[in-house]
Amino acid sequence: MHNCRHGTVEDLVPGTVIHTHGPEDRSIVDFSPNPDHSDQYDRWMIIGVMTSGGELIAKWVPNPSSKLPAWARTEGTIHPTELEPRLASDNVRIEVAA
Amino acid sequence: MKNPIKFIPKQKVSEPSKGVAPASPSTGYVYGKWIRSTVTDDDYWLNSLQLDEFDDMSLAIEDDKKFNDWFEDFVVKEKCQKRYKGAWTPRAAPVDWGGSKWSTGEGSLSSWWRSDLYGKWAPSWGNDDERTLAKAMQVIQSTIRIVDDSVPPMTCAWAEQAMSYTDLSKNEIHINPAPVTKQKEKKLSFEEAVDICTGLGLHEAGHANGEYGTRSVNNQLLLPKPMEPMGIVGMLANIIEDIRTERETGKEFPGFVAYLRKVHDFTWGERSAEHNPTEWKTIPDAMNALIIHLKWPEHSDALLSHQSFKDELPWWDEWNDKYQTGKVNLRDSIQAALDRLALDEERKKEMEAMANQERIEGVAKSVGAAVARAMQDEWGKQVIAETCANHVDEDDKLDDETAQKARQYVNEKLHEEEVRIPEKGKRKPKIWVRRPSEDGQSKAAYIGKPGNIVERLKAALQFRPELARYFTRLQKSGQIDEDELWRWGDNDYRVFQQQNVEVYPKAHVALLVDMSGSMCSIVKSGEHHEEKVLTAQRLAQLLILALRDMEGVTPYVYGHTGDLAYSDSSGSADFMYIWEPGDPLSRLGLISSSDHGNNYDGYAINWVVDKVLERSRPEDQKLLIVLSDGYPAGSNYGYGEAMDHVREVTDDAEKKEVYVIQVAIDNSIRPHDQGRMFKHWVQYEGADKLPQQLARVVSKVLNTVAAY
Repeated sequence: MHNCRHGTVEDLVPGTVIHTHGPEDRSIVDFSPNPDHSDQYDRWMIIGVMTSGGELIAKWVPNPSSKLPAWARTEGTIHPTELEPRLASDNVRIEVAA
Repeated sequence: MKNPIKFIPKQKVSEPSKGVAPASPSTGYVYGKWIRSTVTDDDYWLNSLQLDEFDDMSLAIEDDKKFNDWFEDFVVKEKCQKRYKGAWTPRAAPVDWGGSKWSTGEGSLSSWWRSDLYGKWAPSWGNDDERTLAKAMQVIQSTIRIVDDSVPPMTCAWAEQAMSYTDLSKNEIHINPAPVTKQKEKKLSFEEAVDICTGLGLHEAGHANGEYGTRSVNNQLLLPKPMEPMGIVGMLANIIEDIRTERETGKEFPGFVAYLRKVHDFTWGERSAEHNPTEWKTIPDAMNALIIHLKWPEHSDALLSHQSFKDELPWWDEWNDKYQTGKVNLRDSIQAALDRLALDEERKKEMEAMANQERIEGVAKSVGAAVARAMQDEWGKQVIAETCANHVDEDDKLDDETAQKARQYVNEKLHEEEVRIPEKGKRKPKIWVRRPSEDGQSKAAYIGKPGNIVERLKAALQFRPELARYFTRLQKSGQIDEDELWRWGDNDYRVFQQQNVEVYPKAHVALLVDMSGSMCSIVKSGEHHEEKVLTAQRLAQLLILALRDMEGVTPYVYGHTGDLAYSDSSGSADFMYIWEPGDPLSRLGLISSSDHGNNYDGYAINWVVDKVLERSRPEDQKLLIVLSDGYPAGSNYGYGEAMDHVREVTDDAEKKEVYVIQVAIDNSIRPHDQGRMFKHWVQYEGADKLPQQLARVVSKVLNTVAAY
């Protein structure tokens, strides 16, 4: 079965899925294009990690389980250096097949 | 000179790239790298800690062989991920998908989309195809967006023909729905079905990828002039392109390899034995043999044991390897294969006849149409197995209505939610939430110009004005500001202040419309009779028109019904976003034009109360007006217990300062039952009387002065 656990940025390879959730998780809020709605983010996202010009770039896409309104379910990318502190959060876990 | 390892890219491992922090884990982030072993020629992913150790050992161990041995032990001990190589190598052996934790492929792979991942898992998907397909498709779409780099993004939908394919000309990916719709028959869990369909989608997205996908080489088959016969050309291209694009997708996205492996195994399990050739003879024999030998080499020895295969297949191994290693381009590769097949006179005649027929039927320039034609014999029987990563079975075909409904639900972002307050001692219905799309029917159902009571309603809905006061200082006229008088001595006369008072209200008003079947019965509305749901729609429109222009007041309209998913015995409630500021008013036509089922009032009110709390500001006055005809009615939900549930929910709302007022649209209301459910309610007696009725109850709950 699937296995979710805490991890570090070094656990990431392109295609890794990262779970995020938790209304209290302010670090995830920063993914939002609209900080005014930061209190609404008891949400989930998939973050696939992809390569771009030889570097790893985390690409996040909307999770259909999100309760966010459709307009807020955007996608984007983030550099792993910015991602790293967020991986320490209790609300962020990396998915691996066990 | 020791040089056992090739670096990819060739640079000092620990040397950070531009813009990336130094390699020490204590000082910042450094991504990993693929490192190739010259012993096994495999690439391994090393993270920064492992790279540090690698660097240290590279300097410490002088002897090449000792360093090689150390590295081989190291990658095993550290369980370093091996780069995916795809199905084309090693030849005639089980497919090497890499042996890492990311590619074990056991059980379900991904559950990121499950809303209850960290809670208790209770499969709640039901067996309603449209909804299940809609939810699965949203999961798949999200994952595929990682691989799909198209701008605009590829459109991803369920294939109606029960086979996956990519239409590059239309920018569309179509995915075989059979793993989801036939879970029980195929003995799949829902998660496994999603995994497989995701793998099918990733495979197709690989074809579509602009950098390495089939999109980048497809024109070679058509230019300078279309190759022929296009049916055979397309099938051969599919075989080697499937292998190449899966390998490239695996290289680019090792985390997705396990999905591709699942598809590989699943598709083989679905494959029909009637497509196993007995000898290398006809065109269908050759195509079926190549599909087995090149795409499932682990089964080649067992199935292709006739001497004719042993004589022929080595040439095709070399042919495939030349293409996969980039020594020959697609067009030259396909031409070489056509020439090889044409060495046999019978096959040559067969191919010439096929080319002539393609020209006659006008499919000579269409790869997809020509392949579909070539796979069938003259009686329509499928004689060649599918080349792409899927399986065609007519029984698995999605009927048009289900396909259309699933597509609609995907567009409407159908998803499940939970509510806070379930009915005591009862099973909760599934809560489905969506934002229904307007269509011609709903626009036609929109009631045009409303009556002339909008102004009266505006007057009736008196919200408490905010009395925020603040001062604007440093003015040259107004009231004396003692704190600034010192300026006078410096000939600065800005010693006055002006007091500002904000008098507009801050209010959040939600309307919840009962869209159940009972609302389709007739009610007396003023001097005429009409369906209750039309009355509700008319009232919603009047209230929106009255509220939307009030400064500081934000109105929303929600709707609910239930048990539209008839096959679900546990009950299902359907909650809908109907209108919010910025939407066209014609969306209100959805109230009467949508499907009408049961009504889980308590659950619906609880859901809207939570939306009000989410969307409003703490200082807002919060009002929820329920437009309904009476009593809760759902699967295992009704009578006194459900009424008590409604009351529990409305009382909870009031504790959270969301005041619920019901407008009961029914001529045969039982006041006792209404009072059992709602602390505040009015019986609808006609639009002309509503302003006065609402004015009284609103002033009561908000403690304002009634306009009437």
